[in-house]
Amino acid sequence: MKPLEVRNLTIQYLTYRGWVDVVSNVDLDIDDKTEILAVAGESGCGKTTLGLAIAGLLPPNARITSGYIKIYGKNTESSRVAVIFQDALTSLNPILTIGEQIAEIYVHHFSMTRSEALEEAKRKLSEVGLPDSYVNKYPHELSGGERQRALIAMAIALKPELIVADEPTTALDVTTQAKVLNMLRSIVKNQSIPMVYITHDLALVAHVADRVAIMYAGQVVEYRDKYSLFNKPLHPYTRALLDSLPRVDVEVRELLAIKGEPPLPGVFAKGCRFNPRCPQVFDKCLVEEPGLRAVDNGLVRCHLYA
Amino acid sequence: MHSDILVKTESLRKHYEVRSRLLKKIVGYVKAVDGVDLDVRKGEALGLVGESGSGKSTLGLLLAKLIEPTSGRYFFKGMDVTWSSPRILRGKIRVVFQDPYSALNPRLKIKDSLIEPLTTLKYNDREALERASEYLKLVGLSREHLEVYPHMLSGGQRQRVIIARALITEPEFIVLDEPTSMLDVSTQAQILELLKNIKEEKEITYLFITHNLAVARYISDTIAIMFAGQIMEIGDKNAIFTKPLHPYTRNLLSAYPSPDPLKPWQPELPEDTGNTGKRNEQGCKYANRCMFRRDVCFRSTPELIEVEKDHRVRCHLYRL
Repeated sequence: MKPLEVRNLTIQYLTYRGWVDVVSNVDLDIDDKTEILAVAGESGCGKTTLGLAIAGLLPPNARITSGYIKIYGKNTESSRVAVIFQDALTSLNPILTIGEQIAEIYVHHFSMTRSEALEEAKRKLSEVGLPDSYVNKYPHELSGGERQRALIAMAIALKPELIVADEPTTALDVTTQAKVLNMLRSIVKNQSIPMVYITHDLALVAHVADRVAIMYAGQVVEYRDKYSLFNKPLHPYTRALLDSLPRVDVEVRELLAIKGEPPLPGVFAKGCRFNPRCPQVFDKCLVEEPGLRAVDNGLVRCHLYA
Repeated sequence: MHSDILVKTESLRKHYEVRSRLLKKIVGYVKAVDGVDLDVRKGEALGLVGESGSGKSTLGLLLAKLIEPTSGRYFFKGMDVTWSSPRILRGKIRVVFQDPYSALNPRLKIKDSLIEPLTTLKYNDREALERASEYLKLVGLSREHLEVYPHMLSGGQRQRVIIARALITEPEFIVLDEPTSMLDVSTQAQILELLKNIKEEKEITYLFITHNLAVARYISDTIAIMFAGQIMEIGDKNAIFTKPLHPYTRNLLSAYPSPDPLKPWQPELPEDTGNTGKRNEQGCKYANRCMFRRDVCFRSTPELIEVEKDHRVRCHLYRL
């Protein structure tokens, strides 16, 4: 059974404009227990909503209008999904020590005594590279990177079936970011906990992920393994994103910016949603919405590959 | 002093007092900027790179004359402006901040935000308005945007308005503090292109503050690497990226991934990194984390010395 199966998922939010599509007909899979699936895209593309849906944490003003999410064949309510958000300071309780917050999980779920649970918390902290003494520290005493580690320790404490990490290192400095991501990756590989890695940073995707889904305007527009995606991006949006990226490793003379702005949720162009910004747009794109087609061991949503 | 040097600082310092809670006694200082000697040539874009807490934004505020230094001197066009009122600079130095959502007054129409900096200069209303629409066009917006309010614009459009407002007084020097870090990559690329073109066209000098080395590599001519309030390495962009000298610069560069999965990402990182951890106060500030530290690093502070032409580094490894 697959760790994650998302089929034809459509999610709407109730806004002052009525119900609008935020995620439209998304299909995604994680086939392997040690796989990291990156969901990448710009703000407003629906990647965070998709992550919340997988974790079963959609807010009350959201509804799923089509499709389903299965985790090892079960629905989200009966599966264990851990979430790691960007902002660790708001995810941690400021008036409890790190140890108490982790121990709480063991007291509730495994009916351990408080001292047993604290011992277990120490073990978890050492797994994420924090010393034992940190069980007695409060969140404000930790640096940004340490807080994110503590959060990861909490996330893996319950032996989750799946981790959803939503921009886990965006608030961190580069040197700290590198360490935290390496640690997350080794947790996935060593403990066989698959991960959905949500980010806007394609350079990180290239190194952290195994497979990549590029989202635009609520849809998955390209879904392939990372080597083929970065080697030969197929969708014009993926190509444009990579061309607009400044790089550290090579001298870029000119950035090829994508013209225009990403659409607001629910206000999508007729036909292909990317057509107002696409450099390769042709007649068919303006009238007919492309489906996801299998191309070059992956899926692409573009009429160029019909 | 070379005539082509627009901005020059000599041991510029900004120390903030730390006071005790109860008696408000001074218990120490935060040395946000701790002895910066900087030359910015006319027409050059200087990329100031550092992690959070390195003091790069404070240095930006000092150079924009928005705060006063604790000590040191600041020359603008050869004139000592360290203690002079920012008013005498008459819009010759301008700033663009990171957050396009808080930099515009939500109750003012775009045209009113744009002409505001002109009110102290000699412009009548009609001229000011004409100028406003001219500068909107320059940043890729149009006349219609004069009459709208900030909430009707996207983040990228707002940042364009803010850039137009900075340019409208015809500055010679602009401090750009993380101007694209809140924008999406596609919008970031548009703004970076715009800034690069404006610089060529108007021969403006930039101090471009960023934590993103990739952005710095794209926009800058010269790069300065800042750590704990000091410049650790400064030099021509190509020298910094192809031949980084300071151990900190090398650590930073190794932490940046490339969007190419075939290029290995093997960050060489010391155990304790970042600017929030302990700093070495006596001697080199990076000594606690440096992989090449020796005894001398804890005893004496290295000077910023020129190792190659236009490539200076603050490290005992390169002492002649």
